[in-house]
Amino acid sequence: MTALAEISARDLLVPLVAAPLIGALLCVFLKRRASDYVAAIFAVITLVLAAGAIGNLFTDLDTTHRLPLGWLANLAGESGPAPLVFELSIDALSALMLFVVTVIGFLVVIYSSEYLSPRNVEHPVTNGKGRYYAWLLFFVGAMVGIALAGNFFQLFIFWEITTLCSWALISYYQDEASLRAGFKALIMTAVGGLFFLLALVLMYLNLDTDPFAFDALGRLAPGLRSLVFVFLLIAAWAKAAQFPFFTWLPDAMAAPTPISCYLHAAAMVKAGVYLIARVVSASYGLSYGVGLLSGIMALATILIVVFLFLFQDDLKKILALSTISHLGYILIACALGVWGSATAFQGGLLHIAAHGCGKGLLFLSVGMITYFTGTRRISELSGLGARLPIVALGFFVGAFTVTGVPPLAGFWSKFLILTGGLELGGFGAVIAILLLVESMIAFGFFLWVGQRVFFGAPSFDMPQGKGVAWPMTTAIIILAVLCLAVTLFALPVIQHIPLGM
Amino acid sequence: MMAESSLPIALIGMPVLAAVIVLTLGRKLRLCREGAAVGGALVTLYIAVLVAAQVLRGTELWSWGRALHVDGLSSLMVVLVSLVALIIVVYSLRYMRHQVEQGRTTTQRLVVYYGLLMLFLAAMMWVCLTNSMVWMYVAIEGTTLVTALLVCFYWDPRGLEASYKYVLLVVAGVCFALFGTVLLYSAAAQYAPGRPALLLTELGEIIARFPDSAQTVSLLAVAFFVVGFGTKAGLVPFHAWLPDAHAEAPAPISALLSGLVIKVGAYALARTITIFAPHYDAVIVFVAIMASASMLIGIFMAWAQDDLKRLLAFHSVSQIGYVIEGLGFGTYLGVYGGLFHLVNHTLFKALLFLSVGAVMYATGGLRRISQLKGLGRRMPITAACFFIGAIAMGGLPPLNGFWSKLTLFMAGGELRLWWAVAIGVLVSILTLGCMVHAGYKIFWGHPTTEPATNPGLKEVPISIWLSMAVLAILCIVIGVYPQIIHPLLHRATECILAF
Repeated sequence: MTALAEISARDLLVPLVAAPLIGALLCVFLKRRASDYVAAIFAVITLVLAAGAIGNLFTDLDTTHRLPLGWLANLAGESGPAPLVFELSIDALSALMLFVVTVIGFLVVIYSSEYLSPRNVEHPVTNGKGRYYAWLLFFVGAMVGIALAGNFFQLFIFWEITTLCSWALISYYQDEASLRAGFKALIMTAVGGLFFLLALVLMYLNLDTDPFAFDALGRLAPGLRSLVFVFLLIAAWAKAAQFPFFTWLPDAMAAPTPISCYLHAAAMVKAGVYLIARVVSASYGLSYGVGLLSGIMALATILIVVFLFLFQDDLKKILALSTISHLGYILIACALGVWGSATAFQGGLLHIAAHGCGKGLLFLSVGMITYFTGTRRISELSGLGARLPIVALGFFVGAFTVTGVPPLAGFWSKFLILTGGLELGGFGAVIAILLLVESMIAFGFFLWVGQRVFFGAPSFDMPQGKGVAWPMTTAIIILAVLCLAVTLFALPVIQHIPLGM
Repeated sequence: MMAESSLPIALIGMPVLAAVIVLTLGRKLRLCREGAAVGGALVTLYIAVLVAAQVLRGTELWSWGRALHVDGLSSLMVVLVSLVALIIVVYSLRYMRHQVEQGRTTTQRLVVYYGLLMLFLAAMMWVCLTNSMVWMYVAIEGTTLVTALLVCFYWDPRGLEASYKYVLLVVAGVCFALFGTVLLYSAAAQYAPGRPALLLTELGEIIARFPDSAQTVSLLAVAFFVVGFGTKAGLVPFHAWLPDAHAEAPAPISALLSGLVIKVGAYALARTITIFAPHYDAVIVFVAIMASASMLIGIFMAWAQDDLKRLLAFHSVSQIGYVIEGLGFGTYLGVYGGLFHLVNHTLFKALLFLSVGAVMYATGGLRRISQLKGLGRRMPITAACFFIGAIAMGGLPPLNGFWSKLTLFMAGGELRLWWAVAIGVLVSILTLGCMVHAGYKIFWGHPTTEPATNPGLKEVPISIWLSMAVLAILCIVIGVYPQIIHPLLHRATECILAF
């Protein structure tokens, strides 16, 4: 026991990244049930390690545990030492992200074991499961890497790996639409990635020591700092599907639904906002202008998307569009953070977790609907509530979470963002009011969708009691509980995430 | 430290010996044909590694009164060349036997094939080891002639035409390099009386002594070198030979052309223009413009191709631009990045050509994107190898192409040539798109048409996929742990910059 107690969070970082990658390698060679078990085992291992690391960090949330791993010798300058490139670290912000990534990753792995089966009405799957889990676990590893990256360069490497995995996972069904969507997502996010790369080049060329450290922006000259921030912002827009890059996300709904849940609601798109949160948290002296740019673009995205989703008939596309606008919320919170509102910034961080759980739950519920009915068109569905009560529960809890109904997690995060905006006054208040309007529209819309799909005369025949597929049901129930409980975990953590001023 | 050694002689001698065995005894005995080729390449690789180990310990080797000289760059090249040559020979075993079964060639002709391969290896070694500019020119012509015979190995009209074009253009092009050499000699002789003016090891010192009045001559010589060696490297606008030669040659020879032959041009440029670049800013910009044009035109042409081998050939035109650009920068980061990309490009482009060869092997010679679909299910290893090569070339981490491109972007930024960086970044994303697009068209999708629906379609035999897998693993290893070849690259860069 003493040996176990002496393990610090630092020691768990490498195993945390390695565990899913090993699982991924094993899954390449496995089929069907065997791959289910191996994937689940490695997801559990990752979850346990993450719990260990976060638990360890909880004793002192203000520290950063750093673990340098390697240098790039050829980048050594004439005088200075070679810059630290490979590095893992964990602090409060990492812990928040790690929590979202590993918990939802675990639930998605469990959920997938049933979703990808011949019993799935929409997409019966008989083989190729090993490949699916290999990419999924590879992705989990890369996401854990993003959460634990100790500097911008390391973050970039994992960032690009998630791009690759997302391409393979979106294309999983290999029909024409999914191949095209996967390709589109790859190219759009890779374009963003190149801006990230250019930002790294600029940092390297203008800083003598530790050019890629998270606080690097604060050490640059003001003009350059804004430029680098804008480059990082473009990378984040591409990843988080913001205007003008957002079109890849609705297309990516061609992916299997658990993948949409994980990549396109909980994890990968969050990498984009996580990057900006990192920058805002660690940098000093970001100008008002870059905050304005970030805020206005996010606001534009939200307003464009609100109009788009009123005309959607496809349940998954509605969720995708709603995801885009919620990522906009988080970016707005970061922008308000740049202007000095710690409250709004913390609200945005809480929203990473709250939206991850809420939207994840929505996706899993919709996945279960398509699993049983084979369609995801609202116009073809009605009265599912009687046959699929768990799904109805999941859908409504998810919808209430993302639209911000108390006491669910989404309420607290939105509350903090709006409070922050109103406190700032001026343009901040305008933003807050617009967000409130958007929230109300979205709330009404989700209510209408829920009522249309779950109430009324049943649209399809299903024998009583058949609507239980326990891996999927379990995942939905756990996530529904989390929608309520995540605040309890996340609030203490985000109190310790500093706002760079 | 300098030491006389017989290892450089053995490096050239071993493949020659193997060639002699193949050509004299190979007609009767398979062992003397294929065995001698594999053995020759293997022993050459072993010696190359020995040489590199010595160089890494700080010893530069020379033999034959400094006619052969091994420094960091040479040792990097000989290891790379002999490694890839060995992989290509192993790949050829089953591939060429299959060609015999298909009736495209005969067993008797295989003697010529392996004999020429060994001679090619010898010529490559010679290029990398020689210390004289004139002999380097001769050896480069040697590689051209040998590969020309390999390009038209099937002896069909298209192959002959491609080969003719190849010889004509490259020989004419490389002649410019000879002019450059002559010019340089005429200028240098008066400033270095009584010394061998054209030894590569002496060149830097002599050029440093040039007065300003000789500037015109030396700039002209640089221009000639860029044209001459640029033709060999396939730089735009001297690239016309490249797509034809790649498309018509047997698949292993295409890998050889892109993997090694065009690198000869880059190597020769590394030996020559880097000497001038620090002295004249104009050289840097001139080379950067040439290289950027090559990148852009290569990638645009690649997008327009349906034939996989031509597509890859145009990518070579584009990628060699990165290499030359880096060498032209003439700074530590630039040269390092250029050489790094040279190594990486050799690995992933050879891998890609071999994968396309595997597709042709399995489908009976199909190589048009529009004819192929959904092969991945039956040929998972080939598909994985192709995608690894494609993503490596597209420059995504964690594969090797990323690290060299990163170094090049940083080098460009350091010189404030932001337009060159922007073009490099743009071409990078276009490359990724083009390759991934081709890859998913061929390997993914539901198999609905021939040849994917053909029940006879199966993965290529082990000797073929294993040689591809070795290259793929090298791409991954360098990508995950780029420091692994840092010592060799560092030495090579230092010895270029030391001039």
